[in-house]
Amino acid sequence: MTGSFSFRTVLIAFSLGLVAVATPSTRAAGPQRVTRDGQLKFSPVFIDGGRKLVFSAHNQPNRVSIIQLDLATGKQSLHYPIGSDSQFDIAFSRDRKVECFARSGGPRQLSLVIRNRVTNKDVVFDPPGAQRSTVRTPRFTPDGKRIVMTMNAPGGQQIVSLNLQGKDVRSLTASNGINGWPDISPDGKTIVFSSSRNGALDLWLMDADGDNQRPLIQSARRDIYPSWSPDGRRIAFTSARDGNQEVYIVDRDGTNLRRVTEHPERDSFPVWHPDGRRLLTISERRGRFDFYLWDVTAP
Amino acid sequence: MLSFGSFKTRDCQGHSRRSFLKASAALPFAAGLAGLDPQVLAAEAPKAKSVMLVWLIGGPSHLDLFDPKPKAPDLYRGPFAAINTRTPGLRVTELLPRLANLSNKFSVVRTNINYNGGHREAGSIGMTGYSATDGGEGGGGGPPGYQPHFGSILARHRARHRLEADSIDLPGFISLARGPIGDGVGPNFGYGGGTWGKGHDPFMFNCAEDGKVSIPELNLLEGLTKNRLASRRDVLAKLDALRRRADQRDFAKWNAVYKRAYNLISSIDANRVFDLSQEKSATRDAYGHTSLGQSALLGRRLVEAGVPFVQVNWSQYVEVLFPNKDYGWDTHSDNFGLMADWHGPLLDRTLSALLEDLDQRGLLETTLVCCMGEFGRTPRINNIGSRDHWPHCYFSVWAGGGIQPGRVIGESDPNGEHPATDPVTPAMVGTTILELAGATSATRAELQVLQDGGHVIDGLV
Repeated sequence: MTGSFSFRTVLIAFSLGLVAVATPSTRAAGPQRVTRDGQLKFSPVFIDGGRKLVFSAHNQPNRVSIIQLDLATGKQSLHYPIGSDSQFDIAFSRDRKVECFARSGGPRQLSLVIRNRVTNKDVVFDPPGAQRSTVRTPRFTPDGKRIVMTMNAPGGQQIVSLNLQGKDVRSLTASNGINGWPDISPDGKTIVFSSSRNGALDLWLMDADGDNQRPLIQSARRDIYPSWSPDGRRIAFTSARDGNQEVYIVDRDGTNLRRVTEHPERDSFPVWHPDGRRLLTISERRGRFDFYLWDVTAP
Repeated sequence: MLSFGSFKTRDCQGHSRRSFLKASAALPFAAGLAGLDPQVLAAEAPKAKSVMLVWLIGGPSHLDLFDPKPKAPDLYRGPFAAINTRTPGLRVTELLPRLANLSNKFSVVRTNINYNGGHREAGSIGMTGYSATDGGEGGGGGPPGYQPHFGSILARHRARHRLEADSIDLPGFISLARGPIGDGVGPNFGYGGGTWGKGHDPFMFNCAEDGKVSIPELNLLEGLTKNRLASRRDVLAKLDALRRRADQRDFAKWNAVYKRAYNLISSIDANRVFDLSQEKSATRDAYGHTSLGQSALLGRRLVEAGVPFVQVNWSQYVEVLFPNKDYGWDTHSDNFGLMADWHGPLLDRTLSALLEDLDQRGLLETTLVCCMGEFGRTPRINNIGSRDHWPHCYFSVWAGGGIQPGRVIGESDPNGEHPATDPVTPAMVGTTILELAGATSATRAELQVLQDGGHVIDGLV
């Protein structure tokens, strides 16, 4: 692309003509394929200024592991020594001194492990609800002092924050339905998340303390996995609004919606490259799942 | 190509004795091979020459897949939108767009019920039609406490009344998984021969996401190391001991097992079935390069080769995220995240590819496809924002092999908690499968199976 918009109308065959959506696209000449292993993978994070990717992958039949990929060499290695549990949804503090991830441990629940890489000590936060309770998609606040994540709650899921000792848990949402997939703006002031409080999963914004919750963008289908751009002006997300999972970008004020991917197979898990000019997706192509980098320099 | 451990079974020099012996060792767990009548009888072709049971072990959420309730209260409906399909009156969730577009190829039952809320018991009931007579998995019972699996019944029937299309090389009942299916506590006892014994268990193969096929039961021969394989005497002694231990009653059946093992290993045609590289890459891609996707493709090849009953298992274990388990449908935790990322899209891709592939090859008309789990999940979202076991109302998907497509059979109540119309029991599921596959009421009476409470599901055939 590069620079121009083309408007295309996508008729959703499987909705039998009842839904037709016209969405501008912001498409590059073609994405750069980053991996070729085809493994099921999710929750990617750039580290080291974009030189490495850390992600979760089904690299064994019965376990999810956290993998580190050196983008210069293509070499993949385990981020943590392999254990008997599954580990996924990793996040890093900006100074890289602390990491956190979800772990399926012995008590049959998803715990949050907060790992201090300086002291080599772990803090394990077990969500309330005894067995089978859940934490997902943790994110560090920019100051590195707290973690925002999804946690189970009666009848749904809510977004909470807690400190690095696993204490001082504060509820940021308290609505009906599912609230999840939070991401924090680079200035730390705003959180984008997905909520089904009005029926479908739509994108919402709230202040960092949970106040001022307001819709960002809505559709009849699910909008999930929002990811804030490094400059704080744009939000990438996964949406099924055109009938298939594709990746879109919208400005932080809810305007200027444009479509990044357009393929009959799935595109999801968008995260911004630190340069702010490229967007990483996990895209299913020919039945395999790989990373792709998209040029999204269009306004 | 099928690989027996590290031994290739086919090369330009023929077949290795080691491979044969190892495969023979695995065959005590082969299905429907015992009791072969040497006099093969002609039979009128049934509507379903083969059956594919796609088993969603763990309990898929009916509200989040084939029975959405968008008007239900918040605590029930879940976050996924309901979308139209090609079938009037059938809406599914947005997780199934490909299947929605194919709904003219299948019908959906929305009023399945089971009698137990535990995975192992409900799974066994779902695959055999009845509860155990000996207490079952949780009550000190064993496999003989269950009636034979529907696949075991069909394999036995076809062994005596072979269709022209039935394979003479391959077992009559094949189950595809990494090992005996069950939960973290143990296997489903109703996985095979049940009251008929192990000689009627399924022959189990594993198909990995790269298409490599192996036999999970190779570790049967405890203590039989690779070095000791060099000693024919040791091998035969081991096999003989295994044979006596597993079934002392009928050595004639074992002879048949060995004969079928030899056929399996020595038949180039049989071996070719397991070689997914012979498929066009576009076909392999369409199914998805997951274990489920490639297993479903292997299942189609087995059907094509004339195997009467193939069970394609979603996973070996019901559990999703727990250590050493492999992403079954037991979504007590994070049901909605997992359904959105994993279970919904993978099912949508693989099942739609299977139906389209069978249809394009002209096989769907003679292949009955049934896709279901042992139960559904709680319509009311639980205290940790997810869904638990629900045997009181769930779904099954039916296609091909005599099924009337494009129908919705039954209706659940407004919150999806109970059938609002006549419930469909496990025995009715089995009766429908067997009736369409040619094991008629007379056959079932003769075999003394599925006698009580079973009839063909109204409106489905």
